[in-house]
Amino acid sequence: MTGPVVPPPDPIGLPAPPGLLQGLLVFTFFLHVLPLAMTVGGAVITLASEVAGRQGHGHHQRLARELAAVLPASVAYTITFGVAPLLFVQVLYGVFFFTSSIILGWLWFLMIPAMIVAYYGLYLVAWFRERVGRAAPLVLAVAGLLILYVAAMHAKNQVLMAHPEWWPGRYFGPAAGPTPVLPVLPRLAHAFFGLLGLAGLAVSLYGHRVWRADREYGRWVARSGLAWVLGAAAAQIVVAPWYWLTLPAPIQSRVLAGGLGGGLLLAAPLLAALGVGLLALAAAAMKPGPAIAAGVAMVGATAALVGLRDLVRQLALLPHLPAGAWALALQVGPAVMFAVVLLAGLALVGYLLARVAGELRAPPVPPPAPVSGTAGRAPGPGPAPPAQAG
Amino acid sequence: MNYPHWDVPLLGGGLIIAIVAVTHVFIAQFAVGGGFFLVLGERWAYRTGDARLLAYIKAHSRFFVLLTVVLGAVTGVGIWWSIALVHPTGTSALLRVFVWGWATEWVFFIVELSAALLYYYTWDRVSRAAHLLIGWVYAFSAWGTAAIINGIVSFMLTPGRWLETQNFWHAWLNPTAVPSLFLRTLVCIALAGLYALVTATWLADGGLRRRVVRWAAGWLWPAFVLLGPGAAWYLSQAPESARAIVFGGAPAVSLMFMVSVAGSAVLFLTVLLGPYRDPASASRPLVLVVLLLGLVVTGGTEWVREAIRKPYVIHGYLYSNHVFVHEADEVADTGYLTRARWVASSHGIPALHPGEDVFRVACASCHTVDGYNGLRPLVRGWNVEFAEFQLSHLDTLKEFMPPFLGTEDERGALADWLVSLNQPREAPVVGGER
Repeated sequence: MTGPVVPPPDPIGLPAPPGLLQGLLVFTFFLHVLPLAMTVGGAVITLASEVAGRQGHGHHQRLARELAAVLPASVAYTITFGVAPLLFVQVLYGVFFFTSSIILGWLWFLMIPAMIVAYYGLYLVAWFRERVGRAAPLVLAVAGLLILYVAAMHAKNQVLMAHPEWWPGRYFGPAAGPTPVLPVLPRLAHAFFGLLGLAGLAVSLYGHRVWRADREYGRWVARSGLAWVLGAAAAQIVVAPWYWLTLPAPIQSRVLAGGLGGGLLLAAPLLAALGVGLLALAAAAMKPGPAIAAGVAMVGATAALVGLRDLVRQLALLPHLPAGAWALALQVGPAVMFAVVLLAGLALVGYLLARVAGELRAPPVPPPAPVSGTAGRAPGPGPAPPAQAG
Repeated sequence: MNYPHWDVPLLGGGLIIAIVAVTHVFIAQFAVGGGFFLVLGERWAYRTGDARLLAYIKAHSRFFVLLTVVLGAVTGVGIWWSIALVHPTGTSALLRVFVWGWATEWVFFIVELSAALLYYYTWDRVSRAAHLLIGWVYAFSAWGTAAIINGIVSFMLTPGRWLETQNFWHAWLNPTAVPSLFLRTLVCIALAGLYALVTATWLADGGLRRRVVRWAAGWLWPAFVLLGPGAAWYLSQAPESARAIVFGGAPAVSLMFMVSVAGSAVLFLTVLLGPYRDPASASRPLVLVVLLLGLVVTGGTEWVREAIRKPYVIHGYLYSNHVFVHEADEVADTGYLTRARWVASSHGIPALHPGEDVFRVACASCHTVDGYNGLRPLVRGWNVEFAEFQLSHLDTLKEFMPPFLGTEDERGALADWLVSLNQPREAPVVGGER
């Protein structure tokens, strides 16, 4: 009896065809996954390197510091890139998403303080390492657990929203309906090892880049990243089928029956396996070509999984979608505004990045001269003493 | 009515939204004004050749990033989280109207974040011109995010012609959008100065400290001069019902409005007669108290802005208890409970009291039982007849309340339950618990 619990459609129509909104949802979620991998997997690798570094391994110490320095920015982009898919999922599937969020209630809301504490923890390790001292692994572990909590709640909400038949039981108690244990763990584990693998890929690619200046460290980092990729891939051999088996049988058969679903289901592991092989080859010979190809293959596998994920969601939700939920009330002008601003914004960020990269590659400037005027290329005064301000 | 109710004992969902939103606004408006403060401060340091001033600006940028990129950004997400939990119907309506506006704001977020991180991480590493350019890009993109969200927030009070046309531009460029943006821009500039006073009083160098304190305090001048006329302009564009609420229609709102005005006056006069006139007088405790006062004033003003919209979430379109204005007659015919999907009784769960189900559907989006906006103290001394009379004339007796649209049975049940709140509790009945 799921009909009565799914809210009626919003009286205001969709501002764009559902296909366009779904495309934007998939694309922006894919963008979100890339920094998310660095946040989740990067936090794990940083923590492991930090702990190993305590045993006196210099490369681990260095890698831990370099990764820790990146984590705050990766969290910032994870959150910012996460805004758009959440926007589109709420516009398309709000009747499901809002309801399941409310049923989760405090568990869902507590993600906000969890994110704040985790985020500040990562800044502590990145910017105030001297003050954090030997507590750095502890801070990283707490931040990592909180990030995992956020990921778990997202997974839980995605599972719950796809099962309106479980809503009354979870909201009112068992007397109102079934309250099965939500199959969150396989979904979360599948995502976790995927993200860990992508972070390992990023570390390995970073090793190839560093290799040009520091052969020994670069090779070690490239192989260290590969080891994480191999570990994550080995886990996925078990976890991915486990997750697949938790999907309802009708959805499994419809995914397999469709050309797109079957193609994505086949492409993802093939591309991932190809990527792992190429990355191993690249790390063995320290060749940048196979390393880049490995990156393309593994990011391609990620794109295939993101597409598959959306297909599974559509198959689960569309039968419950109330009639008229996707009626159209097109807004052409505002959509054009978005497209223009998107292109202009990306161009502007691209220009700034190119200009900064160009100036960073330029020969080093002489020691600081007294500042005067706004022209010319003179550096600032160097870091302010902590006691002076801020 | 169509969604389950997120039960937040004592605080109520509304107060959760308020806590998150006020925290966010107090930081996010600093994030907007502070961008201009940083880039103008940096340019001032270059022009005067003052390396120590530049060092201060750099240190201030560290404080700025730590506060705005983390707490400011995540509490912004938190507002979205909390409004969706407390008022999914309103959130859904706003998303449908403004999805392209929010998507555009998202692009501004990307530019803003990228510029903020580049600005911080490229100190000493790129040319001055490039660094200043990054700073300007940050400042204007941050203001752009404020301009977009301002149109959405002001729409909720004055949807204007959108009610007839359903046109995005009529919604976004609504009657209070421009005066509201004018006010918020002034506040952003003032907050930039207020936060800078805090970091300035950490400076050890007396001369530099006095220069920065006076400069930072001067950032309060535009708001001091123009907030009053701006507020009058804003209120002149607000609905008549909103002005009535501010000026006596709801004593609590009028009181908070006065607190907000008086607090602002005290804040401005304290800074302009104190640190601005005599920078040496700026002590750390003083500026921290003034900052705290700024938070109180921000909270009070935002609370009033929300309160004058009552009884609507979107003025003239959606009541604060999830009922659309256009469906009010229909609800009045059928009552609440036959339409509600998430009341206990419709899922075979007996409510402790039939009126409690009505409360959860019709009242709980704004009221708690014992806490914020608590009903128990509000109905103390009422009998059933008086409660029924109040419910029958809810919107005429109190302009900020929506009409009670339930059936006679629902009104009777709710009145009975309200009266029971202040009666001695009976011993629990075995098997009667939910």
